[in-house]
Amino acid sequence: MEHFWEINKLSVSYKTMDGMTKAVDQVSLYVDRGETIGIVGESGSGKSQTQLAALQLIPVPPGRIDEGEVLLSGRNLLSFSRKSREMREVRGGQIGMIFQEPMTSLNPVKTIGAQIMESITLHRGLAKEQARKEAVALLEKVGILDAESRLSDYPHQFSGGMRQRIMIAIALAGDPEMIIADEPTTALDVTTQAQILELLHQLSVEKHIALVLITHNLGIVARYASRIYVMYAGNVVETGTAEEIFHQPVHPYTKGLLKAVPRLDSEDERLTPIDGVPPSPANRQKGCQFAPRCRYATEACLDGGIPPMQEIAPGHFAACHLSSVRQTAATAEQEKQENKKPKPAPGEEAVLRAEDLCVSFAVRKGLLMRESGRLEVLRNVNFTLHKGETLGLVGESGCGKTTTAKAVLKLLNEATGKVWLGDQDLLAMPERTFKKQRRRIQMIFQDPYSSLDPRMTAGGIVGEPLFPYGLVKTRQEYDKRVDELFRLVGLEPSMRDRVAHEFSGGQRQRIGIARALATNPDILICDEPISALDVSIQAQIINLLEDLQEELGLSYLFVAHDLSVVKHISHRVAVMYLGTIVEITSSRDLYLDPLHPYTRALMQAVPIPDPSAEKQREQVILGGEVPSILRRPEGCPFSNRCSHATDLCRKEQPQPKEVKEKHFVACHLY
Amino acid sequence: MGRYICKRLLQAILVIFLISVFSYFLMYLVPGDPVYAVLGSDITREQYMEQFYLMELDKPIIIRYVHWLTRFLTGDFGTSYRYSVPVSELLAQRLPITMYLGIISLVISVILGVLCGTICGTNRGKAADNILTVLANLGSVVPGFWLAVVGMYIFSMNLGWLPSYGFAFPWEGAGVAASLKQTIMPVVCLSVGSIAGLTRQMRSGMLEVIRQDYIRTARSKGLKESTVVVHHAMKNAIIPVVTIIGLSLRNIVSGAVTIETVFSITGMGSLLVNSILARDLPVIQACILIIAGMVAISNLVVDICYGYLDPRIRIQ
Amino acid sequence: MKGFKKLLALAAAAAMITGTLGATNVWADEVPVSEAADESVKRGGDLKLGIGHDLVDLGVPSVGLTFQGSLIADTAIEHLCRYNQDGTLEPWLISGYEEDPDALTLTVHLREGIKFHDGSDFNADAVIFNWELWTENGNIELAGVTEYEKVDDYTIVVHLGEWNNAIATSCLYTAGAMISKEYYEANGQDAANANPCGTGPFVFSEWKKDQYVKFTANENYWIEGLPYLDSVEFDFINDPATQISAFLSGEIDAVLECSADTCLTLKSNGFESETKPLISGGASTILWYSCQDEGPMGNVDVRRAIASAIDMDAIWEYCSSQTGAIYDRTIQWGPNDVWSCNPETKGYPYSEEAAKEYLEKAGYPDGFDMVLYHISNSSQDEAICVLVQDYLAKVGINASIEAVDQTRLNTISGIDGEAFTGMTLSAGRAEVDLTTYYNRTFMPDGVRWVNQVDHFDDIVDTLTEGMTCKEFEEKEAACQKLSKMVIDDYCELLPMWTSSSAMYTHGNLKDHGIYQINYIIWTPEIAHFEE
Repeated sequence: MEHFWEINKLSVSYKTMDGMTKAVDQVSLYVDRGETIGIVGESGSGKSQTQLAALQLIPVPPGRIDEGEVLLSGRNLLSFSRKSREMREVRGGQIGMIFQEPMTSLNPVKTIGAQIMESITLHRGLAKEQARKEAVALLEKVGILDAESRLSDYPHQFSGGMRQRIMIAIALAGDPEMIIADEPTTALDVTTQAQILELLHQLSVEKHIALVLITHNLGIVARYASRIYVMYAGNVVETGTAEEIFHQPVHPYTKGLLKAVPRLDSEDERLTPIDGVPPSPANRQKGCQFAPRCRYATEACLDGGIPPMQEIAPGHFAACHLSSVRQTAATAEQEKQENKKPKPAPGEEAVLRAEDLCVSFAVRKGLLMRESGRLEVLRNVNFTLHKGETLGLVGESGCGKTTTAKAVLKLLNEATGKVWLGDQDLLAMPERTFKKQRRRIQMIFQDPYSSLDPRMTAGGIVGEPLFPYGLVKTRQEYDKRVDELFRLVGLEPSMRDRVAHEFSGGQRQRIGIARALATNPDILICDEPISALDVSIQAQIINLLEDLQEELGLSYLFVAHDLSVVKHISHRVAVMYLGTIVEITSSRDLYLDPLHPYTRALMQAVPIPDPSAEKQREQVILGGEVPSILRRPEGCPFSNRCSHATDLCRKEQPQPKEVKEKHFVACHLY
Repeated sequence: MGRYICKRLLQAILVIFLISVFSYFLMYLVPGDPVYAVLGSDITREQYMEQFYLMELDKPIIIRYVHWLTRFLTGDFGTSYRYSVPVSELLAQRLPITMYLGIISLVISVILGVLCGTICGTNRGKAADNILTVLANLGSVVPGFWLAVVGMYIFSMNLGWLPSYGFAFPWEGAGVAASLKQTIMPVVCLSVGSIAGLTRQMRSGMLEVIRQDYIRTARSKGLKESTVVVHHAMKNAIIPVVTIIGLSLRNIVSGAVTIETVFSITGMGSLLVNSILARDLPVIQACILIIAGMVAISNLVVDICYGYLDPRIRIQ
Repeated sequence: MKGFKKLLALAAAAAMITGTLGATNVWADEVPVSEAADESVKRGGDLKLGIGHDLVDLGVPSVGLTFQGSLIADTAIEHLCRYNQDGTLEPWLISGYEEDPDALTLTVHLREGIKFHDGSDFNADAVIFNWELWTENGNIELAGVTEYEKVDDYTIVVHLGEWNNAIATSCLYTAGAMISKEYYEANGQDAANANPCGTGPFVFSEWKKDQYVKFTANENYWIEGLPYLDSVEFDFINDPATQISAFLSGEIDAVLECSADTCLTLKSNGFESETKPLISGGASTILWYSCQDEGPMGNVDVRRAIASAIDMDAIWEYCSSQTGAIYDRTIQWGPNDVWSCNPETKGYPYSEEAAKEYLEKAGYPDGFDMVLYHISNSSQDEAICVLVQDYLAKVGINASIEAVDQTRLNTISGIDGEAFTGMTLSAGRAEVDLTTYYNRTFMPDGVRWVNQVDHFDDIVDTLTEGMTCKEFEEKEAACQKLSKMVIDDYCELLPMWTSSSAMYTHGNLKDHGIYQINYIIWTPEIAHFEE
């Protein structure tokens, strides 16, 4: 049977300073008409490169297509040259592409109307007036309001979500039969992500367009894809239907991924990380690429060459030397022991309490820069952090969670209210006194690549606070303590003298954690500590943090936008919207029983990596845009998007109420 | 945008005013007796004193400045010491010539520079890029007057194709062909440096733009590479080039003294330099103010162009 | 051609013979050149000359034209008299003149039948108008005239208050360039300045400032059959490379006032300058002493020492070889081989011993320090100063060189200059009649170099005598005495050479008269091309 889009044994390599490196190694996949498939993988897996190479969009002087064929309805596209008319007709015409970065994927100096109409006139040959009407129709279809007048606007006048919709409109403009979406929602907020994906799904169904979803997010493919390809280090390691992949994974990598990724609906199961780091194309192994990290690896795996795809069941293939039976038997024991370790409960003592925390900035206008108004970023934020507890702080961009973290650390002059550390108000404390207290709260930052001083050694970074705070007296004590800290976070003390850029992302984050722990803090504020890491590494860090909390009795304020991660690691979660906390409850209740309409929408927007669970879930997508604090509605900040909003909601700001035990909601509905 | 332009215009006027003050005061601080400058050295005492009072050299400098400014604003630029004709007459004769050559040179430079730069940027590392880059590097160091003399040697002395000197507008006596022949070498010498600079700037701008995500999007739409380069890449890459063009706009009125001297073209460049050497103050001041005015205007034009080219600046 | 020269010679001879008479009487024959229209001469052609200087004033000689400007203006404007090779006046627009020192008059007889380019007549009214304009424009040469008496349309008697024996030269040559009175009165000085309207063989056609001046042949020229050429054009070319290129490629037929580089290049291409030593209008390159110094420079023996210490001949040879201009070595301030030049002036031949002797005598056996000024941007002046410095160092005089600009130099040497110990290198005039320019320096009310010379009474007396004596021989004697006094007796200055500009043609331009006798007059009427 002829597939619509078929890639056979495609290999792509790049010329680098170290020689030719293979980015894609004999990858084969296919897509049928109207089908939605998912291609899953981490960085360096070659998932994007495969599709780009298939469309001959890779830069050819450094890149090279070594072998393979790409069949579009039976025609081999690789037989046409890169710039030939045939290829150009395919690109944008029969196959549309959507890329990851909506902020930079549109030409900033051309109107969006021009950019859409370009595609229309090119592939559909319509006259200018006709093309314009088509463009308006497309914009309306992708959900942009006032499409007619917005045709003459420029990309910078749109938000990220809207730009991605425009990209979709452009991709649709050529009336394609397939759309390749390369990480289309990674840079977007959770609710926007849901909107965009839902839109793609609808369009695919409505117009019978095949959809290739390239992503690292297992939840997305679970929700939308019918078949899945799992790629690792340039090879396809497993393929099958969504059910097969999620419920009966065969390849150790797939299995490992599923165990390493936190789920919204999971109980407190400890994550099982995959050891090691994903390989870069420059260091390819001789045998199976996954072997160094595989817990079931044998000699044959390491030396025997790339394992061929074996058919496990009809349509379900895996590239692994070992039969699944042997695998399962060997590890069933191990797995039983590792998991099911419940999280220790938090203590009763409140170590940190924010009371009526407000942050507002002056808005200055005019020649003399007079204050014409105030911009309220945080409004009356109240929460309590208990000893040994992890309080998660979630919200979308602009909700104020990072501002809260900074305010608590006394990093913002504009913060008002009280922050109680034990029995002392931090904000009111003079600087001299605060100096001594500062060591009790430490912060871990988001970007491991830029948060470490590139000129200092790892040991130097970690040990920096030891002397100033008087935690050690002599050089020996210093060295001992630094070694101890290294071991604490799982790093070899011998790596002390290495410089930051010699470490991988995960290792750097460990260094950051070690540095934070150096002062023996009570409280750690984690500001998106894992969002810049690969999926398989994230689990390592999450586990590390959990272990440290248990071992050292730390309390965490965990700020993040990835709901699954937050829910997994936190005891309690606070949901923020436009500078206020709309709901605080235990992480369990947050998923099982969300009360605030926004929380509900958030929960529904996050996909679970489990197709059957996904099918049973209620799918209500929240409309509207993530708002900005410049245009905060009167009354309840969520009132303009809430489907249950009443007049009271629009007029009066709701105060937090304890609706259930330890479950606070700020909503007029309760 | 309108308010923005008004604000910039006011700034420009302020700048020009300040320059007029500076130049006036500076010229009088420079050594060299202005009376001798006007009359020459072969004069009697009476003639000297007569001229002294005529030039108001007995009054304080501020009064002189105010008088000068009043006259200037009413269009009386004074009389040249050297030529004894009104300065406006000199300017009326020389400014058109300089502007004619300057504008032609500018147009050629922009077209060729942008074109070559685009070719370089899109063919990085290939033969075309290497050759053009070497030429651009050469062109930016070769002095214009050297090129002029070499050109004269080859084309006038040896081959006899082009005249060594002189200039006439096409609508004047000698005819279009003769005027063209006279214009070729000066324009080439004037343009070489600009072409080189613009090529290099456009090249680097192009190289940066061509890596951007939106170029990848454009290609994924199935557009021809030429369309991608011309309609998508160039519009973005040309924005920094506009700054460079703006810097060289003032050459339209300031001319190039070395090339004018070599080709015996009566332009603003030689007027300014010779006037400075001869201490011909009214001419110097008029020239300085014209150049300052042009610089102010070109800055304004560049800013407006930015607004036009880059909507992110235009629409907040 | 031969005919004309013969006549000229005859006229000159006549002048010399009659020059010894008390009342100087110069006559010329009838229009001397009626045979001048030589049939064998090729007619026609457009003459293009490249000239390396800018032009500011053109049409009104009274405002004070530069030498180059005068040359260009001479194409259209003629003088009443021209100079002969030996320095006597040759009547041109006049038929003759008589001087009567006792009656204090100069009688001038104009030629008849000459018209200006605007059609007006050349007559006594026009001549008187020009003379009055000369004085109006601030020139002092005719200041002593009390009255211009118009006897009839072609005879004028000039009345003086006191006898000034330079009056003929002044009236007929210096102030003798004639422009149309009617044109001037109708259009004003500025317009007349830009439109030379004279009696010359070519009519002014167009002047594009700093680009070119064009003249076309005068159909109604007062000498029949002339001019031979159709048009004359002067193109202003300042850059040496352009001058060379334009000349060698044939775009111009002749090049004048060219820079040293041009001259050297053309020399190496086989061209010879056609300039002859000029008797008027040349520039005299002179080293001026600061005679008013209270220090060493004020001592005449010191000055003699300096003059002896410098091998001026060697410097002259060197500089001559570096340039295409003609350098005529002079030991007096004035042209050589004319009646005012004193053959007995000894000067100071080069001798180091003599220099040292003079120094000892003056009381400076070990030398002294001094400063040597020259104009900046002149590599030749720099070179000269370096050579002079070298020579002076050999006798122990330590000279430091300073380059200044022209205005500064004028200030140092002029009315407002202060006394200093040193010398300046600059150029002055070199005319036949010394009294016409020595007075500007040596007289008590002088303006040029007054800060640098000593105003001795006997110089002043001799100068006065030279200006007021009645006989030509007295004048001749006075000038020669003056010349010798300034150099031998008082060592007021150290002349080096008189120079004139180089001029090159392709060899086919004949009888042009450019830079043959003097600087400002050429013979456009008989200039023609030859195969």
